[in-house]
Amino acid sequence: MSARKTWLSTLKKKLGEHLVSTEDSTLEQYATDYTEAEPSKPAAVVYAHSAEHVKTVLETANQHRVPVTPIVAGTNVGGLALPAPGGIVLDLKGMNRIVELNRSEMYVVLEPGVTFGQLKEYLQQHAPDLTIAYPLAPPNVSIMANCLLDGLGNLSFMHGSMGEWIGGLEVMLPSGKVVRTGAAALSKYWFARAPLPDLTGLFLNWQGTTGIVTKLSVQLWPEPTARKRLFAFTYSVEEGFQILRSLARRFIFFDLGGLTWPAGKMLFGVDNPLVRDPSEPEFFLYADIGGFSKGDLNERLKIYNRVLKDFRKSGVEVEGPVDVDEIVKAVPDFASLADFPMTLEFLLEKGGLTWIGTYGPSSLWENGVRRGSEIMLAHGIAPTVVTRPMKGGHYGVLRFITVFDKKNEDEKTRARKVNEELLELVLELGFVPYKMPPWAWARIKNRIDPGFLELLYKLKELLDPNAILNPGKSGTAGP
Amino acid sequence: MFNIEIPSRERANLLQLILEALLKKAARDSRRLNKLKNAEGRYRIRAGRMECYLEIRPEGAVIDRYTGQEIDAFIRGTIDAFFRLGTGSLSPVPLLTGRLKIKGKFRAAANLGLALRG
Repeated sequence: MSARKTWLSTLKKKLGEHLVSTEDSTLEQYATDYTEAEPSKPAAVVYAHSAEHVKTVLETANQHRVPVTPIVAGTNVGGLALPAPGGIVLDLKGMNRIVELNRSEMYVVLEPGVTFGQLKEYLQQHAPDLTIAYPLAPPNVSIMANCLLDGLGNLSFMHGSMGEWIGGLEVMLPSGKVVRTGAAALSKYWFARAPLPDLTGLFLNWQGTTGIVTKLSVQLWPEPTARKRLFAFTYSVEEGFQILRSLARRFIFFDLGGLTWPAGKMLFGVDNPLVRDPSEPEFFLYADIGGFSKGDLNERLKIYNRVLKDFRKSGVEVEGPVDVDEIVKAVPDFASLADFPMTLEFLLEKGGLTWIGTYGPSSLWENGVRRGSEIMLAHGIAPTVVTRPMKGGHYGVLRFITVFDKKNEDEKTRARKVNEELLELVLELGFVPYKMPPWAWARIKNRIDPGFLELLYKLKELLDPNAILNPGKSGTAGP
Repeated sequence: MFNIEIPSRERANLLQLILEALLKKAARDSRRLNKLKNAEGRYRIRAGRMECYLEIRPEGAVIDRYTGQEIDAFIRGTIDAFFRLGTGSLSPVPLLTGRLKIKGKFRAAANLGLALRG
C-alpha cells in the first residue's frame, strides 16, 4: 500500500468516510482561491467537527509527514489557505460553536468556524448591548481567521487590528498536545492576554504554521445606540489626508477611512475605471460616528462638522457630508452598504481579487497613494486604494486592491506584476504587509532583521518539527 | 420602456453615474415615470465641481459629459443635495429650497426634481 493510501485509510477509519473527501471535484474546489496564485491540489479534505477530529488529523499527518492546511471560508487574499500539493486540507467550518459569552468582561470564546454573520445574529439575540468589529468582508468569514491574521474591522480606528483583541487561545500542536494561552492558562476566565508571558504571539500572524487553534477568546465592545456613517469628498488625496489626520486626533469616531475615486465608480458598476474626470472628487472620506445617546452622537457630529468647516474656511473644498443611509435609500442597488458584515459584489464579480495590504506610517499615505496609483495605472488597473488610521492614528492602513478576471491569463499576470511592484514601493516607504502571501515573504527575507528570522525558524522547528503545518506560509519555509 | 444611456460609460464622471441611478429608480415607478416624461428637455447639471448634460426625451434619457451643449435649464447644487433629492428628504419642492438652484425653464426642471424625488 502506498504511503498516501495508508494515511488516507487511517483517517477514514478513525473519522469515518463521510468526514474525509478525495472526490476530484471537492479537491479542485479547495485548490484555488480569489488570488492570482496558481492552483494547488490537495490529496484529501477533512471536515473537522471537534477538537478530537483535529487531533486525529494532526497525529496522523505528523506520523506520515503529510502537509496540513487549515481553512474556514478561504476568502483571504494572500493565498494563505491554498494547500500544499498532495496534502490535507483541514476544513474547520464545522467547528462553529459559540462556547461562551461573558457579558461582564465583554468577550466570547469561539471555535474556528464561527463566522461574523453567525456571531452578529447571536449577539443580537443574547447581548444586543455588545458588538464585535466587522471587516469589509462577506458574513461567512471566520472571526478566528481574521483575528489570527491581524485583519481589521470597523472598530479598528479605536481599538487597532483584530489580533490585539484576542484574549487567549486553545491550540493543538502537530503532536496532538493542547496548549492554552492568555489568562485562561491559569484562570477559568479568558479575559485577557495579560499578565502571563504572552504565548498567543506564537500563533498570531503565523498563518497556521505553528498550531491549529481550536478555541479563541475575542473581545467585544459596547454597541452604540445611535450611529451615523458619512462620506465627505475632496478634490485631492492630499487634502483628504489632511482632513483624515485632523479627524483622527479628535478620537470621537468608531471608524475612519479614505478611499480613492475608482472605488466610487466601481460601486456604480463601472468595470476597472482608469480615467478620472478632473472635476471629480479624488478622495472619499468615510466616518462612522457612534454615540450612546442621541445627544452624545449630536455632540460628536458637531465636532466632525466643525473640522470640515474649518478646512473649508482655510480654502479646502470639501463636499458633503452625505449620510450612507441616504445613499442606500436613494440607490437601492447599494443595499449591501447598509450594514456590516458587508459583501461588496463589485470586488468579487470577476472572480479574481488580490491586494497589497499593509500597515505603516500614515504620514506617508500621500506618497504611497500617488506612486502606487501610477504603478497600477501603468498596468491598466484601476488605482483603488484604501487607507485607514488605526488605533487612534498610531499607524495606518495602506491597501492597493486589484480586481481581475480570474479566467483571463493576461489579467492574472498583470495582477501578479502590479503586486510585485507595489510590494517594492511599500517596503521602500516603510509599510509592512499583513496577511502576507508566500511570494512576498520570499522577497522580504533579505531585508528583514536576521535575528528575527533566526528566531522565527527556531520557534517553527520547536512547535512543528516535521514542518507539516501550512508549508511555505509565514516565511517559515527555511533559509 | 424608458432607456437611460451614458455614452462611453467607462469615462463617465461620478455625477453621471449618480444621476443614472436616480433616473433608473424613478423609471421603475409608473407615477414618477410620467413626471419624468413631463420633464422633457436639455439640462446642464452641476454638483460640486462636477458637471454633466442630461437630455430627457419621451422614450428615454441620455446623460453625457457637458461640453457646452445648448440647454433649457441649468441645475446646480451640492453632491449631498442630489442624494437627498433621491430619498425625498429635501423638502416637498426640492428645487425651491435653495439647496438646488435653477436657471432657465423652471417648470421642466421642477418636474425633473419631482420625478427624481424618492
